[in-house]
Amino acid sequence: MTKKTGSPGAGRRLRALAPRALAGRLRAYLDGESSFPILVLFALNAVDEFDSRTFDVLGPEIAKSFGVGVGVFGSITVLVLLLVPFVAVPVSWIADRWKRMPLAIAGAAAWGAFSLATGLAPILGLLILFRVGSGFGKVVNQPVHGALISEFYSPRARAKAFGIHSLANTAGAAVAAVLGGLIAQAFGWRAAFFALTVPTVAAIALAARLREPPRGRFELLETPAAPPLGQTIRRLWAIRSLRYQWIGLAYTAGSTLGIGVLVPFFLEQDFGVRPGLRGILLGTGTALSAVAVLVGTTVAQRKINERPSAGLRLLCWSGGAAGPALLVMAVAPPLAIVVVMLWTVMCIFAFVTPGLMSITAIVSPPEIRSSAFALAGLVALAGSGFSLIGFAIGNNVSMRLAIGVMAPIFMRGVLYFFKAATYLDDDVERLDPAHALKARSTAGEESVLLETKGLTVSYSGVRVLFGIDLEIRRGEVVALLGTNGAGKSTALNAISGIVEPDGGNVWFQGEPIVGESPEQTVRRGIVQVPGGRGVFPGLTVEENLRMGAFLIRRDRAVLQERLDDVLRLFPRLAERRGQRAGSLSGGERQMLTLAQSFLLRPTLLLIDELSIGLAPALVSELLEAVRAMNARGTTIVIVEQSVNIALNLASRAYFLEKGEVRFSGPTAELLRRRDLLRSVFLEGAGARAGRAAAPPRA
Amino acid sequence: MDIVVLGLVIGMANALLATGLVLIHKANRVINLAHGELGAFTVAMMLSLTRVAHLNYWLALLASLAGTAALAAMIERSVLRRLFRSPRLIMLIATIGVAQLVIVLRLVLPKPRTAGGQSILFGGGLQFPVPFHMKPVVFGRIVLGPAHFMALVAGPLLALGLFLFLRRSSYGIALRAAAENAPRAQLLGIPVRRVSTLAWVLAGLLSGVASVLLAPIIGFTATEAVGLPLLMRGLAAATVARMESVAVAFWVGLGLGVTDQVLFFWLHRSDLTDVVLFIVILAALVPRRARQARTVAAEESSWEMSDPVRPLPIEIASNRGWRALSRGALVGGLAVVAAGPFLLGASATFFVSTVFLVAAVAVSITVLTGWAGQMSIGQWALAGAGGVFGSKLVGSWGWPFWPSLVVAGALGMVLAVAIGLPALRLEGTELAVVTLGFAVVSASWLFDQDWFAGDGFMPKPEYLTTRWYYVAGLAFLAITVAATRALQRSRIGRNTIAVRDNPRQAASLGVGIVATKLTAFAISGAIAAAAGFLWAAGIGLADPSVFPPVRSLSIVAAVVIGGLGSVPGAVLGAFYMLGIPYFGARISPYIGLLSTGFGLLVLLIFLPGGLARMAQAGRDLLARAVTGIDPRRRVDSAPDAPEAAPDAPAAPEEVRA
Repeated sequence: MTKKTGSPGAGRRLRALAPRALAGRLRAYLDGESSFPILVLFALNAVDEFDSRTFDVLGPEIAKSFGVGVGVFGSITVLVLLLVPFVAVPVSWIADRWKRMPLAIAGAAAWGAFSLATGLAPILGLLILFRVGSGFGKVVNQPVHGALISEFYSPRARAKAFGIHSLANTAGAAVAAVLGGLIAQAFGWRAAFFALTVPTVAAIALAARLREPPRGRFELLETPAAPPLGQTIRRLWAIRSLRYQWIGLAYTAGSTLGIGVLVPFFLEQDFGVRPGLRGILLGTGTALSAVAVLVGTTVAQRKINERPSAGLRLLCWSGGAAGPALLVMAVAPPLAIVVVMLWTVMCIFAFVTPGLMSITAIVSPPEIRSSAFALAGLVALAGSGFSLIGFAIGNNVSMRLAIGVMAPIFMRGVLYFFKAATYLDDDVERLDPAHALKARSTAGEESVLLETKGLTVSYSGVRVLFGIDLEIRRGEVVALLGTNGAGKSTALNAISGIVEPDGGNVWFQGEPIVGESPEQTVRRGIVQVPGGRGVFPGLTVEENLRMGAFLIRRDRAVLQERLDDVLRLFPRLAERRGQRAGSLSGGERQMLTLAQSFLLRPTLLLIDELSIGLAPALVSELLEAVRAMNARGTTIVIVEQSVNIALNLASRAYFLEKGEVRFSGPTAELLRRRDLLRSVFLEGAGARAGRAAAPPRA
Repeated sequence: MDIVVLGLVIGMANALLATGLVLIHKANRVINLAHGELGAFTVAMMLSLTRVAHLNYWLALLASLAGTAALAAMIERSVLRRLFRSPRLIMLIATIGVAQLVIVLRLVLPKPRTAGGQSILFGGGLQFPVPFHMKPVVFGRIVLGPAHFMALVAGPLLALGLFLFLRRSSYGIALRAAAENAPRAQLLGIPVRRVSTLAWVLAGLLSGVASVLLAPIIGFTATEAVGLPLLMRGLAAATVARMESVAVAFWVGLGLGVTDQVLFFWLHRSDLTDVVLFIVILAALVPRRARQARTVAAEESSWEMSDPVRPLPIEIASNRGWRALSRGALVGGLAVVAAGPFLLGASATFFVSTVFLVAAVAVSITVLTGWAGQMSIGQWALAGAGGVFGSKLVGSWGWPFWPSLVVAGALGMVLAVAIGLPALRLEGTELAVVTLGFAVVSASWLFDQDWFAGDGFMPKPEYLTTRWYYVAGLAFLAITVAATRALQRSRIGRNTIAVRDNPRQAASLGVGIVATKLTAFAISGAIAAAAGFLWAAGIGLADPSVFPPVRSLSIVAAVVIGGLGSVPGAVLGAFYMLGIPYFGARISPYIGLLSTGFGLLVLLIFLPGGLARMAQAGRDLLARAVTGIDPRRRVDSAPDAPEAAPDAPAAPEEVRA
């Protein structure tokens, strides 16, 4: 399973805090905040890790004394892990309502008792029961300790406190492996669990002296409230780099879990390594990996700061190295090589994990960040199915084959992480507060309504948009110009969600909307008027209008008011209310299309080819309607092939060619750019623009 | 008058079935071939709940309808939604897979048992539960029971409700809007997918109610052959209504019920129902021309699933190692096939022989569908015509065997052209309706007629022992494949494909569309009928029971699984379709339907190229390993790859982008 780890630069600081006046140093490290709470939580966390690691390391002995193989033993581990989320949700619910210190102590006491009971378990059934009980330790540690640390420490010191807290995992694991192994070798595995009660009682005694912190004392002006669970999951799933990381995590975490359980059995069965030596071997590995954690945090963080995708790729390559190491471990005959490979793999896992956590943190929106971590945990659990394959093979065929099978599963996961890396930079960008700030700009006219950055679209592998950057301010009319195939309509489709871009971002009112369906963007107030085929020919005009108002159908009064309004704008439609839309003329159809779109009172109207195939007189009528909409506050982006019409309406224009923006600026400036206009349109067309209401199409 | 009332009762059920079909066609632009199966499922569930679980009628009805609605919603969500952007023909084929799975689902429901513990497979109307009992009312020549009154009350109410829903409610209008212009509907915030689910739920309910109303009047069976006749009842009326108008479909359905009953009392024959429906379908289609494309033209024209097997580039094809390998494989394969009868036991030999013949029928579909873009879902009935008429020739009239084969083939040719004629001017899916009608009619009527059918047995010459029969089957398949390959390379083949891909352009280049399509029909019919003749000779039977319409659907599924448009794919598909039930019969009696239905859907959704495409991927890998040249790269950079390659129709369109 993944481990929480320290903040950037923790290595240097850790070295500083090791000697002499620990508490004082710690206090300084925590920006002067009290060090006692974190020491208590550290102790509680370490003892819990102690317990579960001891169980893993002594697996072969425990399994033997109950007469079961690695298959059953591994299944117990998986079962305990699988129960955690089912208990974790109610526990976190309780933690949000009751006092948390008593909860933490009760949890510790409970799993302490279960840990003692593990040592006493007479039969397999009870052993399983006790392990599930002690699994509650993890349940309390994750949500309750997390919440407690957030209350004890201010945001500035919080990351460091989290770092110290998660070092308890490594420390507990290392001590458990060595000490547990030695005790077991000397007195039997049951004695190791009896011995555990001593530190547990000590930790509880310490915890009893800690007072409950007041709730929410640092959260006065923080992030918005978290949305309900369903919406949270949908929002997180829409972040592609996160999505692929999760899929990859199911593979890697599943195989890692399998290896964790298999290795002690492998050492015991194939090399006859007794618990003492095994503890020392694994303990050394854990100690080495503690170093790797600290190094990993620093190195990966530096790379991530440079460029997130570079950081993730670094982690992928290092993670990928674990695959061959596992294979070597599975085939190597001498113990020495196996052990070296084992340490390598442990170090790699430890090196990679903190970096991945921090990448999850930078792509998930702050108000749902903890959900992102919780869901990542769930996904990792879903992958435990893979470990069961390993246990079954280990049980029935051989340990070597089982470990060998885990390697490709692990590598498959790594490939998903590589895929995640391709989307990572875009996804980091989408959360950049700069875009939200632009949208919230108080300078009225200057506030940015729609922004795209690096928008890239391909149709079945053929790229048609190459990184388009647009910025549409509130209340503007902006024209998108260009020849056939320049990508104008595609840009609109990517904004409204008809096509899914393969790169880049779109922000609407400061919120990232890439990946949303047209139905979602319509609800946000983005309405697209498609070129040409905008009506439902078999429906009457009235029914067509009702469809335009589908989203506001429940509010009869508003509906009626807007219908009247639209029909005032297009009196011709009122005359033909009962007529089938298919029998309307081209101009009337286009009116109907506009009318449908106006009914929703869009914040942003995307108009695709308004004038296509229409007589000039009609076009000017339509243009009037569009102007009227704009006057009421609707921002308009209009795609046109006819420069004259576009420039007549728009104050600013983007000129696209072959999927790239070639010009952007005030329309007057575009008219001076003869080179652009001439390259695409017939000469002279631009010169007349701006005078005639609707001259012939260029 | 009395008869008209009875006709109205039956017509009510027809009408409801028809409106459901129209509804789904509105939502998905597809003729739902599983429509009848949904109704049959409701009936089977009713029977299980009332006669096995002894539930109250209304509770059982509620549960059955809810079950059917849920099933319909599931179908829409898991199948149709995934094929949302696919061509209509693909969706049509997908509904075949759905139909097969629904059949299996229905057959595994617990059936009521007799006192002796036997499952009741057939039952008259009186055995079907009714909600209340009343003294039958005698009205003229007929006796009206509770079932009749229920139909007369429930039918009109439901129809009225549906009509109001479509005209007045927002979701009803949205359904019509989404059918006409789905992208625009989405842009207006209409939940297009939810609307489509809703259409399926409604249609499932309509089919369910209609079938439950019908069952106490015409009886029920628990065999495979229930859904298609039910479908036919709705299909005829829906076809007259052009799949567009709910109201027309409703009234025509009613009218058909009355006509059916009048004919029944007039002629005293009960086997004419399907004939009437078939004639109505033909009559409705003949005068119609291809509709002016009112919806998106692209949706209808591009139908092909994906490019069939691609030829290897010339560098590889002429590579010495590769040539040695492919020749070796060919010789080895031939040797294995030739040695088949000596390696296999008698029953396995016979089984493989029948696979050869079914494969030939599958190839005939490939000619029609893969090349001409026309869908026949009644091909097994054409094979049946060959077999049944053959039994008349050989068995009753004592004609010699081989000349009879030729005559049977000629009959198939004539029949195929006759069936194809009305659909000539139409898009592929309409031919599907006609051929389906033919399949149902031939099983329920034609194959029972004395002037057409023999005594049900099909003798074969003494010298055709199992081994020689194997040789005959193999030879027939080999000749068929060789002939179709030669044909594909000939002018006829090129014309056929040209007409499929772009009829207008083909016509403007002087290719006669009508003649080309008719040629394809004729060839396809001849192959099917001749293969059916040989097949029947093998099993020794030639009656409706061995040529059921459901089988036609399975063969279509086999062709698609193999890879639509590819000749080796058709053969592969036939092996898949027959092989799994042959080897897996012990696992489940329904494994055949299950494997074809399920395989069909999986392939359509995930691997639209079929088995042939997978084989091609394997071949490419092998070719690369042997020659070191990457076949894909070459073909992509050289689109004008050698034209001579057998299985590469020109300009394959990538549909599922």
